[in-house]
Amino acid sequence: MTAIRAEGLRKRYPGFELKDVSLEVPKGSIVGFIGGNGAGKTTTIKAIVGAIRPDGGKVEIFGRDFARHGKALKQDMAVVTEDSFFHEAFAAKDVALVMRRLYTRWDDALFRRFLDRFGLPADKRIKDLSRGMRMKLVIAAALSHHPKLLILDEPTGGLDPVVRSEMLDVFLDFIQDEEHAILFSTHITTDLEKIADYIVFIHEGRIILSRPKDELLEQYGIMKCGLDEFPRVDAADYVGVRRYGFGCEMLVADRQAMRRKYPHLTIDPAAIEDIMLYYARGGKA
Amino acid sequence: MTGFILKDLLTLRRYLKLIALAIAILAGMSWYLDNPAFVSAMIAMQFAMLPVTSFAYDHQAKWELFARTLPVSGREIVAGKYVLSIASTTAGTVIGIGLALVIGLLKGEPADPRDLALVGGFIFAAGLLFLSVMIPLIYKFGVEKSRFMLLAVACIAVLVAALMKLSVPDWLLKASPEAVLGVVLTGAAAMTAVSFLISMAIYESRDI
Repeated sequence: MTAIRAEGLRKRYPGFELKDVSLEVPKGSIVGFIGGNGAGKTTTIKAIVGAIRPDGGKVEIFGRDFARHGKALKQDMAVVTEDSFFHEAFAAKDVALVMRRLYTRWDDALFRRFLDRFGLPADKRIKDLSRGMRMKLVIAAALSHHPKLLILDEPTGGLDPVVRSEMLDVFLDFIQDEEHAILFSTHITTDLEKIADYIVFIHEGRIILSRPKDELLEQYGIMKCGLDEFPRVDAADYVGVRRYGFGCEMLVADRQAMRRKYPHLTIDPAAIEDIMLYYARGGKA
Repeated sequence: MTGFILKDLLTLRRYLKLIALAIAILAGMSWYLDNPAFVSAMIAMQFAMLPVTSFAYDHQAKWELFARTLPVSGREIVAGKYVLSIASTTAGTVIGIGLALVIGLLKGEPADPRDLALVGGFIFAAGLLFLSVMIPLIYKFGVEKSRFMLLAVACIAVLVAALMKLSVPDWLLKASPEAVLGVVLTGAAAMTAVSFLISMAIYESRDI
């Protein structure tokens, strides 16, 4: 069973449109959701959690229609966004006071364990916490009602590598339970290379890539050639191209096949960021 | 819903302290002013602004998006604001009238309990009417714009009344203050109910 199944989500704004967005988050997996600024990541997440009303499409969470059972389903969900949380006058102990009235499975002992693990004082107000500490509090609050589904919208943006690594460990711990799942939207694709099972790439409101991460990293490559050689490369063989000084680099979707076809050219493995950049630029020559 | 009301009260702690300070100052003023109704109204106004301030804090924390992810229905979220509004209007009325009563007793010029009850009733109704107009405006336009919208609504109401040459009907002029209060309180209660339904409709139809 899937944790999230979104089908054909559509939403039109002046100057932007979400176009038939479909994605799945299988149980026991982390799905990395990537795309540039304004690509539609947050709009998609808002449509999934019911913060906006899509013009079309439907969302199922754990096999149930979210539009009809949203309130009950939210007991099993936690949503973390970059900057939407309690007022800065709140301290961690205040957060617990409110959350235990909202979630039937709120676990004070677990929340305290998270505070201890993160070194968060229970009575320090949010406004006095650093950005990293603030995000740790948000994550602690999100996980302390034993959710099964975690939806993260840029949770590690602006955090230093140490705190980010700490957060990734928490997400990996969470996903050890095969009933759990994470939809993780981020710009920091190196984080996804460490922990994601699948990558979904959205660009200009449309999903243009949805594949297992390992498959992407094994198959995609950056092929390099001089400007004089470039005209001899078949345009159907690359996804995008970037020209520089004396040569150019192309993103290829099957680097083994390209090695066979162009044995004299250098082909390096592509990182997720490369794949995102070349797809976003499109840019056939 | 109780979680949301508690969230508002915890968020408003600092504001409540400021209200306590304002009450102390107004209590001092009322010793020298010979107008207990004015002081009571001023205190009630502070409390009537409490729900409005809670919306401003929500906006500041971008709370609304987070709220939509919590296991609470839109109806409960909106109802929470109305419960807070009725509670704060009640508290403002009771404290304002209570203060006028105590100051009168201390000065040896006790106010007529009937007059105080009437003043309290009208202040309570005014608080409810204010919030009944203000809350749907806030849901529709946000806190900042809604202040101007409230002004616009008041101006339009006065203009319409003037253009239609509306005047206080004779039966109302001849009625006892208690009867008028009864009509005003019933009207305020009806307005609150209608206001809640409008706010619900706005909230449910709005994207965050």
